[in-house]
Amino acid sequence: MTTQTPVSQLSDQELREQLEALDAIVPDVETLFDELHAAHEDHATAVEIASTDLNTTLTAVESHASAFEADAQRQIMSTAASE
Amino acid sequence: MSNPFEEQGAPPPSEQAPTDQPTHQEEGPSQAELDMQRGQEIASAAAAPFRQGAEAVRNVNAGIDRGVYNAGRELGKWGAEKLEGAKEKFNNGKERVKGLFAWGKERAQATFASIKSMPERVGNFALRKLGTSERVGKELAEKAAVKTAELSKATVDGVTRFGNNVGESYNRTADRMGGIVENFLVRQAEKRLLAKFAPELQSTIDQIAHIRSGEYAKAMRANAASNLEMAAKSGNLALALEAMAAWNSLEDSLTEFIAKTLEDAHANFDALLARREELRAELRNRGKEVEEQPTAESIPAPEEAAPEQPTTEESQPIQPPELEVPSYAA
Repeated sequence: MTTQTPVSQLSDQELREQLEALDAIVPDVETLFDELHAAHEDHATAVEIASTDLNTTLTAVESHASAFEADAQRQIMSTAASE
Repeated sequence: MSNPFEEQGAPPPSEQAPTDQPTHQEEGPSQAELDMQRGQEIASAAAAPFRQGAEAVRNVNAGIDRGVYNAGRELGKWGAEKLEGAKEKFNNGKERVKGLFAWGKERAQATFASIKSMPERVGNFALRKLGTSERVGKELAEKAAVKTAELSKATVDGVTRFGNNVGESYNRTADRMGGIVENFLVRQAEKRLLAKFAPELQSTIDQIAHIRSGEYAKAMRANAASNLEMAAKSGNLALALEAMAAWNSLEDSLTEFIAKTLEDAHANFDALLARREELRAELRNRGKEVEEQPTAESIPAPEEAAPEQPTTEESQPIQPPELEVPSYAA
C-alpha cells in the first residue's frame, strides 16, 4: 500500500485537493460495493434455484422407490394369499 | 541712507494695507490639508467596493467549507452505515450458499441410502412371505435392483445438474464481478483519482480483480467437471458427490475470498474515511476559514465583518483569495 503523506506536510491546496478527491471517490466505491453485493446475491439465488431443482429430483426418486416397493409388497402379499 | 522701499517701488510698511487674513495655524486647515482630507475620503470610498468584495469572498469560502464539511461528514456516516448493511447482507448470502451446499449433499446421500437398500428390503419381504423357491419373489427382487439402478442414475443426474448449475452461476458471477471491477477502474482512471488519493483501496481492487482471473479455481473446476461427467455416465453417486464436494470447495473458496475481500474493503474504506476526516481537521486547524466547524450562525454577515479602514497607502485593489480549484491531473 502506498504510504500517504502526513496531512501536516501537505499544503493547504493539497489538503483541499485530496479532500475533494476523496469526496468524489466515496460514492463510486459505494456503487462498486452495491454492484458486487448484487452479483453475489444473484449467485446465492441461482444456488437456491439449483437446490430447489435437486430437491424436486430427489423427492421424485424417493417417491418412485417407495411406490415400487409398495407395489412389490402388494404383489408378494397377493401371491402369498393365493397359495 | 536711502529708503529701501522707495528704491524697490514698494510702499513703506506703514503704508501697506492692514490685512485681516488669519494665519493658517490660527484659523483652520491649509488647502493642502483639505486636499489630503478630500483625497482620503475619495480613496476610502474607492476602497469600499474592494472591502465588500473581499468580505463576500470570505463568506463564500466559509460557506464552501461548511458545505464540504457537512456534506463530507454526512456522506461518511452514510457510507459507513450502508457498508455495514451490505456486509451483513453478504454474510447472509454467504451462509445461504454454504448452507445449501451442505443441505444438497446430505439430501442426495439420504436419498441414495434409501433407494440403495430397497431391493434388499423387497427380497427379504418376499423371503419372509413366500420362501426361497418362489419365482415371484425372485423376479420382484431383480426388478427392484433394476429400479434402484435407474433411480440411482436419476439421483446422480440431479446432483450433476445441481453441480453444473452452481458452477455455471459461479462462472457468471466471477465474470460479472470482474466486469464490475473493470468498469470501476475505468471510471477511476478517467478521473485519475484512485491511485493518487485512495491507495488504501488498491489492495481491494487487486483482490476483486483476482476473482475474475480464477486461476486458483481452474484446476479444481476442471476436476469437478470431469468427475461430474464420469458420475453421470456411470451412475456412481459417490463420484457425483465427490464432484459436488469439489464444487462445494470451489464455492467456499469463492465465498471466503469475497468475504475476506469485502472485510478488507471495509477496513480500507474506513481508513479512507478517516483520512478524509484527518484532512478536514487539518484544514480546520490550519486555515482561518475552517479552523472551527462552521455553522450557519457562525458565518458573519457582511456588515458585521471586521471593516478595517485601509489607509491611503493600503488602498490598492484587493485580490480575492484563490479558491484553489483542485487539479486532478495525475
